[in-house]
Amino acid sequence: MNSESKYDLLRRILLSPLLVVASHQSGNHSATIREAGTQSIEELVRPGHLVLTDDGRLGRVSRVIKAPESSHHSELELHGENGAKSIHSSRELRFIYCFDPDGHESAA
Amino acid sequence: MRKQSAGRAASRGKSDVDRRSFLAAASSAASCLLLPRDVAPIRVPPTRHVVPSSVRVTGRVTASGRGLGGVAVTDGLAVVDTASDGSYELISTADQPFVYVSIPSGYSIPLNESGTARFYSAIAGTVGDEVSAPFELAQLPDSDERHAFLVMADVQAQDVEEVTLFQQQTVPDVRQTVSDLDVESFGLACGDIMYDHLDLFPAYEQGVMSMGVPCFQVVGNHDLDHSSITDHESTATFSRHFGPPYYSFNRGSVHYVVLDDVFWYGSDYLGYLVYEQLKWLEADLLRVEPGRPVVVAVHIPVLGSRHVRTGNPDPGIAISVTNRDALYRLLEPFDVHIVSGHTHECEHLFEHGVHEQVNGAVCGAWWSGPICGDGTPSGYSVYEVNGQQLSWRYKSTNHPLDHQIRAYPRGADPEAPDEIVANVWNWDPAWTVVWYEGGDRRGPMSRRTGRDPLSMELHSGPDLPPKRPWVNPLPTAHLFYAPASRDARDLRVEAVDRFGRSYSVPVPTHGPGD
Repeated sequence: MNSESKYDLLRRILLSPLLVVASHQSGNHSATIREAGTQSIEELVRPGHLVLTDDGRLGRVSRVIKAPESSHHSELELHGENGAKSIHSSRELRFIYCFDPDGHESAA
Repeated sequence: MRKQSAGRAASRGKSDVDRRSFLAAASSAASCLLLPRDVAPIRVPPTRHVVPSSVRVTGRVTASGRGLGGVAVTDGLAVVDTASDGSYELISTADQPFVYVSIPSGYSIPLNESGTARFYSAIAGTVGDEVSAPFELAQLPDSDERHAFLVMADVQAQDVEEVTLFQQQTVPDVRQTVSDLDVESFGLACGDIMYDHLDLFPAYEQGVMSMGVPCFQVVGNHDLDHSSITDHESTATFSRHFGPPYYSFNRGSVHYVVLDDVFWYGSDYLGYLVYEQLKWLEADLLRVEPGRPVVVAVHIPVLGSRHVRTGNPDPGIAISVTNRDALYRLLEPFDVHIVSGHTHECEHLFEHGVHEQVNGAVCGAWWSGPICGDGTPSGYSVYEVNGQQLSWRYKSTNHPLDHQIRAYPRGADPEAPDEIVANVWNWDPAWTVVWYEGGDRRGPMSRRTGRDPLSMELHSGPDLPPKRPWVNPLPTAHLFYAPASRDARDLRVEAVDRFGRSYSVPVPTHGPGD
């Protein structure tokens, strides 16, 4: 474990507007973005974003499938590190690294 | 991390996402976040999908020349079982650095020269598509149904002075403990063996050699190559010394699993288990009968309670495993005991049918004094196994095994001026803690969250440890209080652990600082 100063550094990174943590733990399926308020994951995630999912996958969002009226949660098509595509509920996202699709950092 | 042969590298090709570029992108993002907003935006490196070439790994697992069937062999992805003659075939990929066995019960733990466990064979850098990896084991002379293991969390030596303290204080203590146990034993260094200075790994290995028991290692956040930009590469130095960062083995009726739950993203870490490790674990556990005891060793607690004690709604992402539900699901069929470290404090949690024991640190508060921030003495845990039954005690370095309580006089905690205090660091809900006055049993003590008075003395105020002034007294839930009158005499605290072992200490008349 590390000193408080390093935690502060980590916290600063994770609270930055560009790197967003989905706060599943408290059942609040939203992400708080510094200087931009709170958004739902559905509003936030866009194709091109890099994500870590609850089942341990690293992937890039290739498609966002909007939630049907019967569900509150969109589905995301991920392009995994091994080339495989998989579909995940947006609620399965754990960490979101925001990039825009053409490779520039996101203005999220 | 293994190097690719030119031939294999040439076989790579198609565009997509690979782990390296993925995490390079992620870590670049993290790094750029520290820059002012008007800095030119970074470019995400173009992503490409690399398909590593296949490697056919074959070999035999033998003991005294005889093949051993049913031994699990893995490259960290696929798991296969040896045939009745001990032979196996594993189709691996060129980027897997090791092939390794899950040491079966009844066989001794193969050793490196240093005394650390050698259950693996490096296949990195091999040329061609065929690799041979034989494993020779030796049958134990006696059953290992009774055995013991020591969990040594956070040795965390940063320099020669600190690793010398480990060698001069911890190692002889462990050696004596093992001698007293007088049963087949092994050690588990539960992560943060080093404090970022990985060139001191050989000094740790010297300590292991002196301990006289085989040691397995868990990777911690301070055992990583921090110059790496990916999680995958960050364990390269650790692996050169100790092999793969996740694996399993068996002793008696217990299946042991060591996991790497430190996810390095290029500038810092999260508690997180990656997909390929979870898939490996699923395959590994398919070979374990439901209901069997499974001991899981990780560095970062799967779920600590620090956030509860500090009033935060969620566990911190660097002090818990953020995708732990995936782990809990895999562990459901088993009788699971998780051992972890990282937070330099003792606690027991019972969540999702799992008992997790967060272990106090070998180094205490980073070698600055005799205790951790929660008052737990520097030390390690001793587990004794008899068939499917586990029992455990915390072993304070330089103290006898029955040192399980520190008592403080009335007023030692300024927030409870009329009460005596006892720190029972290895407490769990099956313990009882009572107090006596003048030989009369006065009743159970009241457990409350607070700060250990000795830790307050050592870790707050003007006289902070010079080398570690940032150590804080941690709020802990294993403090016990009882009201005692000003003129009370002959006060004692008695604790009985879940195994019926009784410990008793007198309450001193003067506290720390008096």
